[in-house]
Amino acid sequence: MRTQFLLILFSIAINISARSQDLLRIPLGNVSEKQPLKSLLLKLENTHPVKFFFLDDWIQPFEIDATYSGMTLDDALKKVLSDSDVTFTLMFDYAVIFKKDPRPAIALDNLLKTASARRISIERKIVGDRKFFSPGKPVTLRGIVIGESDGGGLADVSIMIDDQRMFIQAESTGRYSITIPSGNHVLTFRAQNYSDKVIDLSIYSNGNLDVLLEDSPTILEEIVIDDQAIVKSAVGESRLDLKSIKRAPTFLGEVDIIKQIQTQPGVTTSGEIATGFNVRGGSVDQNLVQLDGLPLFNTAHAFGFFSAFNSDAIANVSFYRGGIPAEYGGRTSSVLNITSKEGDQKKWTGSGGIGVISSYVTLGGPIKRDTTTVLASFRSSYSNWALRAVRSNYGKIQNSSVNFYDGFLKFSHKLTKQTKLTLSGYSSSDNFTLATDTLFEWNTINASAKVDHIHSERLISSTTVGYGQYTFSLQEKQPETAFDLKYKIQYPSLKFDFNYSGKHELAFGLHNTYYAFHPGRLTPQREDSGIPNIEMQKEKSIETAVYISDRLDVTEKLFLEAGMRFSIYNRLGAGVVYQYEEGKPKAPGTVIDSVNYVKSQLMKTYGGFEPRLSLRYTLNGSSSVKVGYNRMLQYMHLVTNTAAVTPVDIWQSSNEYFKPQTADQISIGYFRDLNKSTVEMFVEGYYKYTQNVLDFKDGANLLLNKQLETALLSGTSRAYGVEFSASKVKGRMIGTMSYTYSRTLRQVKSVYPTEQINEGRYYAANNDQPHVVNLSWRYNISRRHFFSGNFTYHTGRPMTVPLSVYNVDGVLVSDFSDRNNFRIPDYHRLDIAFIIEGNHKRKKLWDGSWIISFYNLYARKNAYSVFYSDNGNGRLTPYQLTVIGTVIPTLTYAFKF
Amino acid sequence: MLSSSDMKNFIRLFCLLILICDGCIEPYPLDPHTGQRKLVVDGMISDQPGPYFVKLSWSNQTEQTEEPEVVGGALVKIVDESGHEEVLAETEGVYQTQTPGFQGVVGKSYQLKMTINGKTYATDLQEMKSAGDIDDIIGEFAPNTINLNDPTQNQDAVNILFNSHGTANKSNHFRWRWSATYQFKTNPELHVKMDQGVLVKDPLECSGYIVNLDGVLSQVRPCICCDCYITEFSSKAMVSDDRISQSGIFKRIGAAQFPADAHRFATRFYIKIEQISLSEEAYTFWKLAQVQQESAGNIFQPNVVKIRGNVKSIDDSDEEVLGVFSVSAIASKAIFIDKTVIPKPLLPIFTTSDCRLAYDGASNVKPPFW
Repeated sequence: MRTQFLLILFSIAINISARSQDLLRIPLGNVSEKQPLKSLLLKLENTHPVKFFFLDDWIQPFEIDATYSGMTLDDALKKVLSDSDVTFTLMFDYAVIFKKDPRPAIALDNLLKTASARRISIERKIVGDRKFFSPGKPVTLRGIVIGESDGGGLADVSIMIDDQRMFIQAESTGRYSITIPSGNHVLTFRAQNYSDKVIDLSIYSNGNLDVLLEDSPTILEEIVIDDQAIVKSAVGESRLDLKSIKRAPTFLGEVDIIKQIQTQPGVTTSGEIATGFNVRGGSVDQNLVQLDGLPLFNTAHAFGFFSAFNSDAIANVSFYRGGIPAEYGGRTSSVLNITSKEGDQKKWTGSGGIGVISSYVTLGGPIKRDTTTVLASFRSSYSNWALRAVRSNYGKIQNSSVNFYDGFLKFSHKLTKQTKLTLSGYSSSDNFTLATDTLFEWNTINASAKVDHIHSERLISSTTVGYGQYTFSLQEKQPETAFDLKYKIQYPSLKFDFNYSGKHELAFGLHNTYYAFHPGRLTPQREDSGIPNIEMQKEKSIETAVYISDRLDVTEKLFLEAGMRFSIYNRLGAGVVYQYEEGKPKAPGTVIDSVNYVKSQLMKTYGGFEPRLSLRYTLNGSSSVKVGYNRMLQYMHLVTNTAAVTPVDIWQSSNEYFKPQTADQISIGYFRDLNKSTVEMFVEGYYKYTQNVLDFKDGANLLLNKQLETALLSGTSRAYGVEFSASKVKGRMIGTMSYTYSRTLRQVKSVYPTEQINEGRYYAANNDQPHVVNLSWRYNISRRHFFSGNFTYHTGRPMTVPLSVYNVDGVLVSDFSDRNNFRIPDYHRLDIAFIIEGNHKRKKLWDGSWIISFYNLYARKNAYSVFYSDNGNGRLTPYQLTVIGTVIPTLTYAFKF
Repeated sequence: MLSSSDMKNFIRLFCLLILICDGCIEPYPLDPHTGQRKLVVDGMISDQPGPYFVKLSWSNQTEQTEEPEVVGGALVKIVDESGHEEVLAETEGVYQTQTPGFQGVVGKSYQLKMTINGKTYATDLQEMKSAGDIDDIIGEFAPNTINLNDPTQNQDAVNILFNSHGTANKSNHFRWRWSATYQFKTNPELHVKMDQGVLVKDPLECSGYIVNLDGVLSQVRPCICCDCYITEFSSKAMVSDDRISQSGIFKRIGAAQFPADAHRFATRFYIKIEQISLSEEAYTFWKLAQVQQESAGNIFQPNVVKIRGNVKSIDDSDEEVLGVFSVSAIASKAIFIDKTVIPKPLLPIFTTSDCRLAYDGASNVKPPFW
C-alpha cells in the first residue's frame, strides 16, 4: 500500500507557454463552503479548459474554504499545498499535474527496510482520522513506553524520529510527548535491555500511543543504545548492560554485577574477596547500594567471592559516581541502584543456569494477563563438594560446610488503570560451619510494598513502605568456650516520590528511615566458659530527607539538572554518652562522667542541605561538556580496622562524637562520539573533599566496644583523579579501554599525639591506587559465538611494614613504618571467556547457552594482602596472602524458556 | 579474648575458602628497608629492692637476628620528684643503680634522664602507683586445647589463671608477667655405649656412679646431673583490660597455657605471677605491644600498630625513641601445681643424658624456693 506513494512522476522540463500561464489565473470565484480540494478541482475541470492529474491519496487531505474566495488557482494551490510535499506543475496548455516529492517517502521506506533486515519488530500505527489530515500541521503524540517484563513505564527510553532528523528522550517514567508535522513518520523506540521497536506511523491529529518494548531476545545483535551515547548521559553516570555482563568472563561461573561495577572508571577494589568497591577514593561504606528502593548492608556471599544477586532477576542497574541526583542520599560516594524484574504481563517465561558453585532459576509470568504478574528467582550453592574435594592436612575441613542462597519474589498488580501495586521481597543468606563447632551466619531480608499512581498525564507518584534487616551471628559450640554473638540492623522506611513532567521535569519527595542497630550481644553458653556476657546498647535513629530536583533543557544545547536535598538525622535514646576529661585524649581511663538518655529521648541531631547540580552543554552533535557538583551527607559509618571489608565489621550510627561524613565533589568531563558514534570517548576529572571520615586508632579494639570514640579517629579525606575511557560500541568487535589516575589522601590531626595518624600529615588511604587500567572486549565470532575478555591492572594498595625489632623486658616489639607508607605488589589479571549461545529462533521453547570461562588466565599470584606473622622466635616476618593463585576454568550452562 | 578467638575461627574459615581457589600464603620478600636505627630503652624502677637496670641498644633490622648493638658511654640517671639523682653505672650497655638501699617508693614520682653522644633524653616524671595484689593462682587441666607442632591434633594443656585486684576507682593499669620453673630427672648413670659390638654400661661421670670390676653400678659421689630445673619466662605482653579496670577486680585472667606433658609435669610445677603497675604512657606502650602480638598472623592484618615509648629526645623532637622506662610497683604470688592436676597418666620420659644438656636453659642448681 505504501508503493503508491512512491510513484515517481517524471518532471518534464517544458516551456510554459503564455497560454498555460492563463491556466493559473483561473479564478476560483466564490467558495461558499468548506470542501475537499478534489471536489473544487473537479468543478474547475467542468467550467474551464483544464485537466488536473493527481492521485486521490495525495490531495485527499487538502480542503478549500471560504477564505479562498476570489483567489486565483495559482494562489489557492500555493496556499493549500504550502508546508506539504505536494507541488504542482503545468504541462501543455491545459494540464495541471500534481507531484509529490518522493525523497521523504523513500527515506522512510528505507528506514523500514533496514529495520526489517535487522529483524526489528515493526508496527504499523495510525493515529487520528485521515479525514482530518492537514499536511504539515504540527500534531502532538503522547504516550508511555512500557517494558514487557516489568509492565511499568521504562526509564531512559530514546525515541528517534525519522532518520536522525529528530531525537528525543522520554521522561524517566516512560512518558513521552513529541510534536511533529502530521503525516507519515518512522519512530524508533529504544531502551537498554529491550528490543528496538519501530513504529510505522501515520498521524493525522493529536493522539495517544503507548508502546510496548519486548525484552531483548538473544536473536538480536548487541543493540547499541544511542541514548546511552555518553554525549547525552549525565556526568559521572553509567548504566550497565545486563547482557554484556552475561557475556563477560566470570569467576567460577557466577555472573556478578558488583564485579562489573569494579571495572568502571573511577572504581577500585581491594581484591577478589572484597565485599564492596571503592568509588573515587571513597570507602566501601560510602556506596549506596539500593535494591528496589531499599538500601542493603551486605551485597556479597562468601566473604565477597560472589555478589548476592541473581542477575537473571535484575531488570535495571544504574550507577552514579558523580552528579548524583537529589533523590538519592545517605552515602557520600556513589549510588548503585538495582531494580528487580517483574513477571511478564503476557506469558510465562523462565531462565536459569548451572554453575560450579551455585545454580539459579527464575520463573515469572502473568497470574492474570495484563493485570497481575509474579516473578520468583532463587539461587543456591551446592552442598560442600568443593570443600570436600580439597585435600588438606587440616583435619576439620571435612566437617565444614559453606552454604549460601538468595532469592527474589516480586508481585505486581494493576489495581486500576492508574494505580499499580508492587510487592517485592529479597533475601540472602550465608551459613558456614567450621568443624561442626563454629557457625557463622549472615542474613539479609528486604521487603517493600510500592503503590504507583498516575494522577494526571503529567504527575505520577510512588509510595513505598519498606522493611530491611541485616543480621550477623557467630556461634561457638565447643563447650569450654561456647558463646553466641549476634549483630543486627533493622530499618523500616517510608518514602513518597513524585514526578511531574512538562517542560520542567520535576522530581520531589520525602524519605524517612528508622534505624535500629543492635551492635552486638555476646552470650556465654556456659557459666564457666570465661566469656563475659556483654550486651551493647541498641542505637536508634531516624533519618528524614526531603528533596526536589528539576531536569530541564534550558536551550537546545544546555541541559540542566538541579536539585536540593535536605536531610536531618536524629539519634534517639536509650543510650549513654561518656564524657571525657578535658585536655586529655579520649580513653576508657579518662571517662569522668556519663549522661544517660531514656528511651526515645533525643540524643543528638545533625542535618544539612545537600545541593546537587549537573550540567550538560552540547558543543555539537558529537561532543559535549558536562559539569557536576554534589554534596552528600552520610550518617552511618562502617568501622573497620582491616583493609578489606569483612562481614564482621560493624556499622555505627552518628552520635555525639561521630559527626556525619560530608562530601563535596566537583567533576567535569568532556565527551565525544567519533566515527558515527561507533567510538565513544571521555575524559573526566574530579575533586572530592570529605569531612569526618573515620579511621582506626593504632591497636583499636572495635568489636563490642562500648566506647568506640576511644578507638576511632575522625579526619578528612581529599581525593582527585582523571578518568580516560574509550569504547568501541558498534560492530563485531566491541570493547572499552580505560585508564584512571587518582589519589586518595587522608589526614587525621589532633593536639594529642595518640589521636593523630602519621603525626597529622596526609597519608594514603587504604584504597589509594593511583594507576588503574581496565580493558574489556567482546568479539562476535559469529551470531552465536562470542569471545570476550578483560584485563585489569592496578597499583598495589598501601601497607605498613615493620622496619625494625627490639626487645623490652623479654618481649619482642616491632617498630612499624608510618601508616600506609609502603605498597603491596601491583595487581594484574587477564580473564577470557567463550560463549556459545543457542540458535536464535525467537519462538523456540528452550534456549540454552554454554559459557567457558578462564579466570586469571596466566595464573598470577596477586597479593591480596601482606601480613606479618610471628616466625616462632617473636619476630614478625612478612607473608603474602594470595586468594586466587591459579587459573580457574569454569563451564556454565544457562538456559531460558 | 573473644575477639581473638572469633577472629581465629573466622580466619580458619576464610583460609578454607581460599584453599578452594588454590590461594596460598607464602613468605613475601620485603625489600630490606634501610630504616634508620633508633635508640631502644628497656628499663624499670620498682618498689622491690634494687639494683635496677636500664638497657640501651640500637634497634635491629627486622631480618637481623643477632644481638642488637649496645649503646655504651651514656650518662644515665634516675631522678625523683625532689630532684635527687641516682646515677647508673654501665657494663656493656647495661646500666645499673649503685647506691645500696636505693629503692622506689609507691606514691613518689621518678623519671629517667640520659645523655648519649651529647644528646639528652628524658621521660616525664611518673608516679609509682600501687600494684594491688594477686589473690590466687589456679592451674586447670584443659583437654584438647593447644596446638603445637601438629596442627591437626589438639593436645592437652594446663591453663594458668589468676584472680587479682587493684584499687577501686583508680586507673589500675597493670602488666602481668610470669615465670615458671619445673624439675625434671634424667638417668645419666644408666648411660651405655657400644664396645666392639656389645652394649656396655657407661655411666656419665657427673652421675657419681662407676662400674665395679664385677660389672655392677655403684654410686661413689652425689649425682650432679640427675635433677635439673628449667625456668621459662613470659614473652608475651599482657596488660589489664582498661574496660574493666575501673572496678579494680580481675577474675580468672588467663596468664599462660602449658602443654600437659611429662617433661613439665614430672613432679610439680612452680608458677609465679607478677602484677606490675604502670603509668599511663607505659601502659599504652604495653597495650599496643600486646595488640601487635595478637594481630600477628591475622590475614586481615592491617591492624598494624605504631608503638610510641615514653622516652623523648629533648634536643630533637623528630627523633623517635623506642622502648619504655617503667616506674612500677610489683605484687607477686607463686604456687606449686602438682602433677596430679593432669587426670591421666603421662608416659614418663626416660633419658640417660646429662640433664644440664638435655634442654636449653636447664640448670642443676636448685632454686631457693624449691
